Amino acid sequence: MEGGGGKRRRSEGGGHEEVAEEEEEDRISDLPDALRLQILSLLPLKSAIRTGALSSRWRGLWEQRWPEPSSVRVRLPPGAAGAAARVEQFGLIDRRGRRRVDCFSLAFHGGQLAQPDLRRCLDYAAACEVEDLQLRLDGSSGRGSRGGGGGGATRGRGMLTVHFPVGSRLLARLSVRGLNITAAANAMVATLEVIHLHSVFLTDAALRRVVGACPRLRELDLRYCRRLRRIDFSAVGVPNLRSFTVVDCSRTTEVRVLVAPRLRSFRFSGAFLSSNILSAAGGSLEHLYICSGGPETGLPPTNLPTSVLNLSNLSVLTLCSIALQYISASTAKAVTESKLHSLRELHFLMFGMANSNLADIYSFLKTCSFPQLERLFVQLPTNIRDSFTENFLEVAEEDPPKGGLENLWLAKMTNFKGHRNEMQLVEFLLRKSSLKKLLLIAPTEDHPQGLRKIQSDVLPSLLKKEIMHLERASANTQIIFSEPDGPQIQPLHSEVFVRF
Amino acid sequence: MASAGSGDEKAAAAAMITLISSDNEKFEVTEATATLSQTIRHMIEDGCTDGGVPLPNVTSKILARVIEYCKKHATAAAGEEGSSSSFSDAAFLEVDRAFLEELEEFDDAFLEVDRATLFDLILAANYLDIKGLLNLTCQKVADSVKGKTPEQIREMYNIVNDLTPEEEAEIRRETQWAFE
Repeated sequence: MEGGGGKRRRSEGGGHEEVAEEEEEDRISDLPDALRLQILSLLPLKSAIRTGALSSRWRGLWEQRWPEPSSVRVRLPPGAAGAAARVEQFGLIDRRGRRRVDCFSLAFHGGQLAQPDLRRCLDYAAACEVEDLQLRLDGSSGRGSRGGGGGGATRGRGMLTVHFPVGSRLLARLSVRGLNITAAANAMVATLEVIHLHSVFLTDAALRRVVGACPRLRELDLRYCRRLRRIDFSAVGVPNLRSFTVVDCSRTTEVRVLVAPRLRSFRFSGAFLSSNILSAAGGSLEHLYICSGGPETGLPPTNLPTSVLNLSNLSVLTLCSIALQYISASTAKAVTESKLHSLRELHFLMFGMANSNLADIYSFLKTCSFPQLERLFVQLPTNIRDSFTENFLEVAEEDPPKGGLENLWLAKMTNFKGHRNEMQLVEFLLRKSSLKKLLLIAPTEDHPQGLRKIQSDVLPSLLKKEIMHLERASANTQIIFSEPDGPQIQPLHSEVFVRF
Repeated sequence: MASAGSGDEKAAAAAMITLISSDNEKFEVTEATATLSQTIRHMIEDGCTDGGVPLPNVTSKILARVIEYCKKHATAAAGEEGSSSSFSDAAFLEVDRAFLEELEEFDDAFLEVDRATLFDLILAANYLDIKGLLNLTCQKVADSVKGKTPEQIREMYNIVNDLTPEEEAEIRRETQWAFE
């Protein structure tokens, strides 16, 4: 009409409908699925996954961004069925062709695949530019028992081997379990951010090369990697590492990291070793988990627990009773000022609750008044008597701290049996006027060590009565007795790597 | 019809096609420009472009931008054909490279639009089936989303989060690594 006869007029007046509506409209979600999928296909996997949390219209959409199936999962069941499944599932891969894939995951059992089969899967995944690669050998090479790594170093023989780098240009996440890993020198995988290795046999040098190849590495999780002896990243650097977990790499005697400027979380479970990681991370560390891995550990020379007190930005801390022993022994020797002023949550994993263990807790609470501490979790031992574990270090009797803990409102004790020292701790906590909730959780019934639930009513009524009559500093403190399987408040460090 | 008058004098040099926007504005373009759109190419092949091609899904404002893109890229395509047919010596390669750079600059400048226009361009490129323009505009949106947290993306695009906190926590838990 008004534009009749006008040739390719750069019309400014045509946009009148858009002007009013543009501000508050959700144009991107209104796009047809095909277009949203096109946008998603232009994103790295990590960013694509994040869109799944935008709203219900985006939930799960990213999973369809490649031609079906956008993720390939090969699962070979144990025994005879595995061979048939292999033929069928490898056939599916062949028919799918080499198109982009988000996740390639392969799970099989010992003896089902030979090295060329694994090679073929890896080549396929690499050709499809996989972003999330998961390889898992199930069964035979389990986690094994702690310290039982006798044949550990040689068990790698005959295992299938993954050679790093695996070849995908876009690999963001690598998870390997039960396989060997060898690594090329001077590789570069600029996209890799997350590495999880579980029961993987790799040498110190191979690990160093892998880490050195990944400048963007954010998360490193090493569990039951029993060939590792010295985890040393001094030469390669970990500039972007946020989260580092080491669980029962039982032959490892040292973890060396020169500087870890972005490390926010360090979790260590296993025989204590020496490490400079806490000072390397310094002020950036917010989450720390230190557990010796079990009650029967001796005391090797370690500097891990004693450097804990210097971490001024720590907000969540988990310590086992043996780490507590180290700390109270060191503070007894020299007056140490704790810098743990930012701590909000504290979690004790007590392998024993003898007098000395209670003294360790008190002595730790005295190192700093913990003005910000809000939640305290105490995992109590499952042994039947009070004094069970050996005391490796001499600790003087300790009185409970008088002040401090002004913001503590929640305390929870699991495996609560009402033993003398447990009751002492309860009495101590009830003297805190800020405490709103005290949760006492009974032990589980079918515990392997034969501890049985004392009676159907969780705790003997006499004991309950006794606890209810304890003097409380505040009338607002609520005491709750609970079954182990009831709904409960869980600590932030809810993943405990050891069995109680 | 507007196209009839201008059509006969230029027919020898290049066939002209008239495109009609949703608000009835007419745009006359060469066939080479118009056929960057697969949709229009098919119409031409079917011989149903006499009297103009109505595009009821595209406003004149957006159509003008789309034509601007097509004209630039149609010359680019013609240039490529030219250089590959004449044996490509160093001088030609140099010209090609300069032209590609110019094209990139054009694309960058072309994308300097407000968000509403960007989405209109995506929809128009999709409707007209112009691969290059669709890739270009979708890439622009993808780049704006890349590396952002869900909160930042929601704010940028006015997305209302209708997930319950439990649902959202579940989604994050399923692939926790991507949210850290």
